Amino acid sequence: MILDTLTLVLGVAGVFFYTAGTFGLLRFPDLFSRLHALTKADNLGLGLIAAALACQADSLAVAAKLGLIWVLALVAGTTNCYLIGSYARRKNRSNQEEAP
Amino acid sequence: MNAGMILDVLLAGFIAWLAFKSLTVPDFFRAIIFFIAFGLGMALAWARLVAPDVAIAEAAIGAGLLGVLLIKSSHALPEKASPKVSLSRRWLIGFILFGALGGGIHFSSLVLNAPAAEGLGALATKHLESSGVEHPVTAVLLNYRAYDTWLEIAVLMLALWVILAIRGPSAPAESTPVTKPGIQFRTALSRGLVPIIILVSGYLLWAGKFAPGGAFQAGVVLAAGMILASLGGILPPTRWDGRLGLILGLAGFMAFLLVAIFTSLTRFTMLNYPPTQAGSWILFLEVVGTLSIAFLLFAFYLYVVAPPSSGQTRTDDSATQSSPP
Amino acid sequence: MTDPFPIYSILAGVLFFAGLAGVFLLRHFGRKIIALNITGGAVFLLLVTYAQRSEDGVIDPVPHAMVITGLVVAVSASALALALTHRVYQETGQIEFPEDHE
Repeated sequence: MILDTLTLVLGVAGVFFYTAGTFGLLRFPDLFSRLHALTKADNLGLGLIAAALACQADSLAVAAKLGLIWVLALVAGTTNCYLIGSYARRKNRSNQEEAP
Repeated sequence: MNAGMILDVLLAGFIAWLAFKSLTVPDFFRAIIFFIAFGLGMALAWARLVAPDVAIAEAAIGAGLLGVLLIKSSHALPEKASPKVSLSRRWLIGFILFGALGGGIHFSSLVLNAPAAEGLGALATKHLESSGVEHPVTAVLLNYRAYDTWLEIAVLMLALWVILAIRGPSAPAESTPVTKPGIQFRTALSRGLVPIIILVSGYLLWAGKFAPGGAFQAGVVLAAGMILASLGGILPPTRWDGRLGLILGLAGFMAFLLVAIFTSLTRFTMLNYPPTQAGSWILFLEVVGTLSIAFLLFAFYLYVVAPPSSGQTRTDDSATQSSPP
Repeated sequence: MTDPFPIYSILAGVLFFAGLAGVFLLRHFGRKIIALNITGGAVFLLLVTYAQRSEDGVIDPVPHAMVITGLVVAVSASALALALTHRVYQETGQIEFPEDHE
């Protein structure tokens, strides 16, 4: 019973963060601010949803696997953010060097 | 109209939109990104259709590996801007929409009237105890239809042979570790992730016996680990198209061949394992098959296009092109 | 859970013909490969949808195995097609079918 309400609350919070991240993706003007919104909000949303699912898990091993999935998604998201950001920064810099 | 059906309708609409965008968006690179998202949407559809093996395989191979191959070759297949872009683009979008809707409606009216038939599920589960594994899909892949799996590995090998045979003169001979600045991040990431990937691949291989998993999923995850290792520059410089590649590429096919010869001679039917030892035979074939599949897919990534020739650093990452050192 | 069969079979039909139209109408070779893969995905979707829908309720594993095999074969064929396209571009400089508005 407690676990079910916990799943509901965490799931709704996760969806809220995902929605916030998507709004940031659509409404922010700049690549870097969009990256910021996506990486922070979406990863937190994923963590909350993983926690919500972990409350419904049959055993501790399954919950631990969900946590591991969250950590790996975190690593992947951070990597993407860094690579996109550094590529964009290098391209901005070379564009500024070309423009007289 | 319950929650499941609403989810299905939304998911189907989303997948159709992603496919449509990937066909019509002007930039080739963006089309590839939409295609990768389409592959992941399909993985969700497989999950809704209670097909977890297919979902794992689609997410790993269909979206992941194929996406990597497409991105790697996107710089080598530039798109020339068409002079009359607006008019032809509208015709194109119109034709695709008409084709999709018209064809879909006609096709669905045929299919929706087809009656539900009794499948092979009952037959597959009836013989499950004597097949050596406990998961029906693995039993089908490696026992009932092991011949298909054998030939599938052969198809992978043939594709790699032809890719290697038609290579141009500027093709690389080995995967060189890169020395550009900014590589430290990729190296650190590879060093951290590749051991985890090897573990996950081994777990998927082992879990195929009783849960969704198996040789193909494990092989693809291992191939992804090798690609990550080569991007991070932690692989030693090796000639992947020499003797090592020959051994790794042929190993899966030869394992199946040996088992087939042995079973034909002793049990007079090809690939008919003795029921008490079927589990061990399947495990042997899966292990060798995983290594072979992983190497073959990694070699696809290495050799599908030649890297940009003079004026650029020879690197595995073709998305970030910088001035030569 | 109601039967998801109608929704996904309609999606399979839509994807198949969208991909087919793309194969014929798109000029860039790489995009044709993407369209071909979308068509293949539609066929796989139909196979798995039929697998899910059987009378006795047991999910048929044979189409699952066929689709997994098909995915790997599709990726091999796409890799080969990409390599061929790249070689054709290297040799002839041609990456698209020419427009024939004349």
